[in-house]
Amino acid sequence: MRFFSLFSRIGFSNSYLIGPDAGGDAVLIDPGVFDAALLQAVENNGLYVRSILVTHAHNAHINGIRSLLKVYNAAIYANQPSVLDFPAHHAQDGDVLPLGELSARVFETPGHSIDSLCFLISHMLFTGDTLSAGSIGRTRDGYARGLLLESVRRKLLAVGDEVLLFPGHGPPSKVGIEKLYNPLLGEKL
Amino acid sequence: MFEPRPCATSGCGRPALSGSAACIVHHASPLSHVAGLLRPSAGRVELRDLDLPGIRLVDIDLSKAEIQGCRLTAATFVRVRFLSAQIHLSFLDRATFEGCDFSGAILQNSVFAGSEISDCSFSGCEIVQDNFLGIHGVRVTFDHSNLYATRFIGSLLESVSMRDCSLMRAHFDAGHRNVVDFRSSSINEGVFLEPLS
Repeated sequence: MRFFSLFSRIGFSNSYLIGPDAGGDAVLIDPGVFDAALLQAVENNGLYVRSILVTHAHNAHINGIRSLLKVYNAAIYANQPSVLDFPAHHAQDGDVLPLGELSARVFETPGHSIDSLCFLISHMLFTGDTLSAGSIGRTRDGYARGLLLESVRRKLLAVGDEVLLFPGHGPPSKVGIEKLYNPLLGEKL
Repeated sequence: MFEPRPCATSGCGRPALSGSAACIVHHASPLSHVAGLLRPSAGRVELRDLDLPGIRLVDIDLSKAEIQGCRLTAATFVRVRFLSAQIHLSFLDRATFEGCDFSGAILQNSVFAGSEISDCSFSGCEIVQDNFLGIHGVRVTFDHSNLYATRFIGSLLESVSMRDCSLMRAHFDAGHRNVVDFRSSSINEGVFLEPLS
């Protein structure tokens, strides 16, 4: 499996590209920007962006979609019927999305935004702005924070300590590391 | 990226070492197996997409090595030289580093969380968007390094030197610091939610 982490200076967000070793259909998570680095990662490795997974429809995570769809005929998966006016497949809690050689298990994790999703692909969990290394996403109020913490504890922390965690912002982590060192996960609801 | 496989030994839950069916405990000769993987090609060591949890490296020169997409969780590194090495998207969490030298290295999107790091140098490094959550650092220098977006949340730093560092978007919240020298560093650009000790 080929895996690339790409950083956008616009919005300081991470995008992730996953594809087969031999090239072919690839999955792109949260294309905050469509720039030369992303294009090179796709083209230089014989990949074709066939699926775009959106953890939530904030600009820093979707702005690249408009340009991407001019180059690649990709399906969008999100917790909304459309993203930037492009139709999206509605991904919901418990869904398993068939993505060529890969599949993604969907977790709804509302709190940072009402449409927040996380995706588990193989041993990698993509958390958007729900959970990052030592932190959680910003929320509008205490209710939303409670929702976020509840779904993180009940769903994400249950996937296994050695599962790799790739957030929308900041460095990677592991689920077990967050259990031990994330100071916000111990908050009372 | 490495892909974990279970050890073939019945009842063992550990991950197998890359290139082998057995884990570090059940491999007949783990030292020679790892030594084979560390053989330089074109003058430098390249470790790509390898799963090598629990390995122990002592007095090894990994200068200019390229380590990408690897898991070296719970590994032990004693007097290993990582001079000008490049470590990308790799997991060196819960590891032990004693007397290691990373001077001039580029560490990016990698995880050192929960590690015990003592008598090590990270001088003149590009330490960009790395995870140092919960580390215990003793007599460690990060002088003249760029620590952009690197997170030391929940870490215990003792006798650590971070002089002349760029701390833009670096996080130090919820940690403990005892004799940490930030002289000439951009502490106004870092995130400290408690007073500097």
